[in-house]
Formats: sequence, structure tokens, C-alpha cells
Amino acid sequence: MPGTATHTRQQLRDYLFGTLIPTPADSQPDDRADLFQHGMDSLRLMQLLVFIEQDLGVKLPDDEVTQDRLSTVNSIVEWVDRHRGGRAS
Amino acid sequence: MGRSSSWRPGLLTQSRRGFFVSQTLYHLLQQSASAHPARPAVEFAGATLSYRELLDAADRAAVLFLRYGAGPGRRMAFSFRKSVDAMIALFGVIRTGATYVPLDPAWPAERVRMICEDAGVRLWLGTEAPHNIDGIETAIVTIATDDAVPLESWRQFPPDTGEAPEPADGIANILFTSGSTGRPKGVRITTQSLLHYSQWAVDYFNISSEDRLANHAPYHFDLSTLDIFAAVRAGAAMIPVPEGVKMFPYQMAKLIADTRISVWYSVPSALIMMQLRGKLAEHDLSRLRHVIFAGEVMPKPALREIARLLPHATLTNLYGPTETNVCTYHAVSREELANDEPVPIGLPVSDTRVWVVDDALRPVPTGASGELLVAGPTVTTGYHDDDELTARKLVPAPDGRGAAYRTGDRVRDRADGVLLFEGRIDRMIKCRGHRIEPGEIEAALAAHPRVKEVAIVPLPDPVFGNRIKACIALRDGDVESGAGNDEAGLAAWCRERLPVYMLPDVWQFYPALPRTDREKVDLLALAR
Repeated sequence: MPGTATHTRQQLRDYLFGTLIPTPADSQPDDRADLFQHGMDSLRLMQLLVFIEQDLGVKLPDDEVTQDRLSTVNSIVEWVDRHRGGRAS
Repeated sequence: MGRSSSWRPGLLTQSRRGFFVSQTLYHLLQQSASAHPARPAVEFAGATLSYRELLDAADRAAVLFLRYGAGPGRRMAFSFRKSVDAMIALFGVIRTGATYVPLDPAWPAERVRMICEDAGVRLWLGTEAPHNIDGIETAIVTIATDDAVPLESWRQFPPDTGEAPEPADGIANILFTSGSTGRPKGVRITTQSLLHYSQWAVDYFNISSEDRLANHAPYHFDLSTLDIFAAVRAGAAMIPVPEGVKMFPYQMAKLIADTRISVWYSVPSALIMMQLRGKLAEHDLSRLRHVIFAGEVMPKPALREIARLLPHATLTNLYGPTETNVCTYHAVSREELANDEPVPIGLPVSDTRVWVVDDALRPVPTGASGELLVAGPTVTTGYHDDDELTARKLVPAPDGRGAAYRTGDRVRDRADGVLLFEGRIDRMIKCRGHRIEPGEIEAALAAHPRVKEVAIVPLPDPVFGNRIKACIALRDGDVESGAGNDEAGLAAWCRERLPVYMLPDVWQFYPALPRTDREKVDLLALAR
């Protein structure tokens, strides 16, 4: 189900813990954990924004790039979904 | 062929060395509290502390620290994120004459332990207690009940009104930076260096009590000393950049506008992020008069765009390894912005002498490449507890006046004396202004039981200077199938041992690392 929240969540987790901050399956943070306590920094933050724009196809307004919205998998998914407009679930 | 400072006539007409002798950093605060008692010293998250209040709080905090043994000859861990409390604690420590060792609360426990043990830290000061560190006798953990009422409990102490002693050997702090042997090395920063440097900054940038200086770099990063000590010397306001803002480009630009910051100093990547995603044009940045950057090479295209959006601001590149503090500066002119030449590192700051030398430390002809040697009042007296490294890096100055620091930076000078940076003579990598010794990451990975060979190489990046590539040969991996190439496991291993800025961004696995015909790992091939 491409474009759905479930799909977004999985894509995001794969990218975060497979590529951006490689993490063994048994120690991956859950969707509510603070990514800034788990290796997220300015360089990775910029890469994450590019991933969201290019791979998830969602353009996020610069003024909404805040720690609150980017701190957990849940908050990112919620934010991305809100900006998907009518295109997705 | 020493090049002396081309100091602006009139700004500093004679060496001020004599002027510094009787001063400590605490006197800077005392003087500003007397000259500008009601002016804001620190503004953070809606709370403001005036100079009078900052002095009073530091005087009381010092009494608490003294009670636990702070004082000259004692080294104190200083582990804070940006806050009002951090500034009270900092000047409290300075008042006791102790030497402070700034740490990042986000560093892995193992690295913090190594640094505290190497530095002989007995007293810990921070927002959180330390983990299992041998030697620490007392930990003072600050609990701020409310940002507007910082460190309430310290108020019970009467302020110390005695004379503030100087720290032992004149060492204000020890900054630990990446070490090529796998252990961080401690650079001794003297009170003299900070006094001299802050005086230069106040004079050169004409900083007054009307100014408002952002404090973006973390406390363990030498950049942060300009913001703090130049502000306190001038009686200007310090605006620490909060955690939730420091890496968010739009929030940074908004902070500059909302808090009317007049002097911004950061690594280039923070500025480039603001230029790319900060919507600078949407903010009122008219108060910003100085944009200062250091730590790595600022790319011209980004600088051009920043100049276009901030037509009223000066743009200044500062240069200097931790060991020398800022030793050269270059104001980028609007004319220079048009060409694609790299931004120069410029001319020496006041009382600093520089030479470009060959391998035998002989000065080279003007225009020829060589290593930059730096001597002067801001240069370190050496590494903590490492005489061998000190002897290798501090050599007799070519003019016979004291020691000069071998920067390891390859430079050349133009006919007008302006220095141009060309790269490193060793393998050090700059990433977001942080210096990273590949050897420190290699040592961490080589200790992993599955790693047979490892090499760390830089991958140039337009925003962050470099990214870090880890090249790995495993003892038991199958590179063909990719089976067993456990980059997640290795990355997690690194996160337990290294600060975030040293974590590799790219992992590549090899059956064996490629070798040059002289049997050394072929780093150039790996970096391609």
C-alpha cells in the first residue's frame, strides 16, 4: 500500500535504522523514542529532510522543521502524513 | 621571514601584554558588573540575568564549589548544555581559580570516563551525575527549578567577596580534542590566551555593551570562548543557542531576529544550513552586523548568497587550531565574493607571529607551500600530561622568542602577506568544524572482535565539509554475498565509544583493504 501511513512508517524506519543511523534489529528504538538520543545530529538531520522530500515525495515547509516534529518516528510520520494532502491515507 | 600583524593603526598601538598580567577572567565579569550592572549578561529561553546578577550568582556558586575543594590546581569537569546555569557555573568555577574541563553531556560515558581520568578530575559539575569514573570524589549536580530562578540552592551561600585567585600554571581550561592514537588529547588553554583573544575580538569587531552575541558552539569547542569572553569583556549580552534551535535552520534565523542578535559566530555548516533552509529573507536580520565563521573552509557560493541576504553585515573568516586559539583573520570584501578563489585565512591577529616552513622548519620563500607555524600569547603551553606530544608540536620559534605551534596545516602566502589554506599535511579530517583524527575512529573499530582491517577516509561534502567513510575488512565476512557485513553492529559499537560527530556516515566492506605498492593502505583509492 504505497503512500499509506503504514508504508511511510516502514520506509522511514528502514532508512533511519538501515542507512542513516545503522542499528541492529534488537536495539532499534521504538517509534516513541527520541532520535536525538540515538545519534541524530545536524548532518543526519539534513540527510533525513532530503530523504523525506525525494524518497517519500513530500515537500515540508522549512518553518516547520523543529525538534518536536523530528524527534521520534511517530512525530515524523504524523508530520509527513499531514503534508501528503489528498494523495495518501 | 616572520610576518607581523597588519593591525589597524590606532586600534592597538602597543602590545598589551603587561596589561594582562594582573587580570583573571573573573575580573572581566567584575568590571562589566561594575560598568554595566543592569545590562543583560545572559538571555536564554525568556530568562534574563543582568551583569550584577551574574556576578552575584557566580560569587555565591564559588563558595559552594570551594566547599567541595575547588581552587587553583584542581580540575573540574564542566558538563553542561546551553543554559543560564551553565554561565553561572562557569564563572563560579573561574572565580575559584580551578581549571575546568568542558565535556559534552551527549558524549558516550566511555569517552567522558577516559577524559576525566586523563585530566585527573576530582570534582564534577554538571546537569547530570557522571557514570562510574574513578577518581571523582564529588559531583555537584545542578537542579534548576525554573529557568527564571537559576540554581536556587546556591543563593543560600553568602557571596565570596575575596580576591579571585589565578588558576595554577595560568591554565583556565583544558579542551579535549580528537587524538590520532585513539585517546582524546587535552589542549591547555591559558587565561592569558583567553584574555588576549577576547581583547582582540572586542577591539576588532568593535563590540560594546549594546551588542548581543549568539553562543552557538558547544562549551567544549574553542569557538564558544569568543562569544563568552568577548561579551563579558564588553558588557554585551550573550544569547546561548538552545538545543532545540542549534541544528534547525529556520529556528536559528528566527532566534537571530527575535533576540536581535548583532554578532553571530559559528562553523560554516550552521550558516550554510540557514542559507539553504532558514528562509533568511523572511526574517528581520537588520541588527546582525557581524557574521563570523571558523572551523573549516567556507564555500564561496554559500557565502555569496549569505552576503546578498545580509547586505549590511561584515563577513569574517577566523582561523586557528585549538592549540593557538584564533591566530589569523580575514574580512571578506564584497569584491572578493565575485571570484571563485577560496576564502583566505588572512593575516595574523595582534601580537601573533606566523611562518610558513618546510619539513626542517625553515621558512620557505613567499608564495611557496609549507606548514604554518604560529607563535604568540594565545598559543597553548602544551598538552595535558603528554610531554612527548608537546615536544613534537611546540618547537622553538624561528625568531628565537619562545615556542611556536606546528599547525599541521599546509598554507602559502600571497605577495600581500595574506595566508591561503591549502589542506592538511597529515590525515586530520574537518567535519562541521570538528577536528577528527581518523586514528581515533580506527582505534575504536579495530578493537571490535570481527574487524581485521579498518581505514577511515573523508568524503568531501558541500555543506558539512566532509563526511566520514569507514572502510572495513572483516575476519569472517563474505563480501561477495554481503552476508555478515554487519554495519549496524559496527555503527552501534562506535556510538558507545565516539561522539556523534565522529560516527562514520558511509560503510564499505572489502575482502582486504587495497594496498599501495609500498604495502601501505591505499587511502586515496578508498576515498574515491
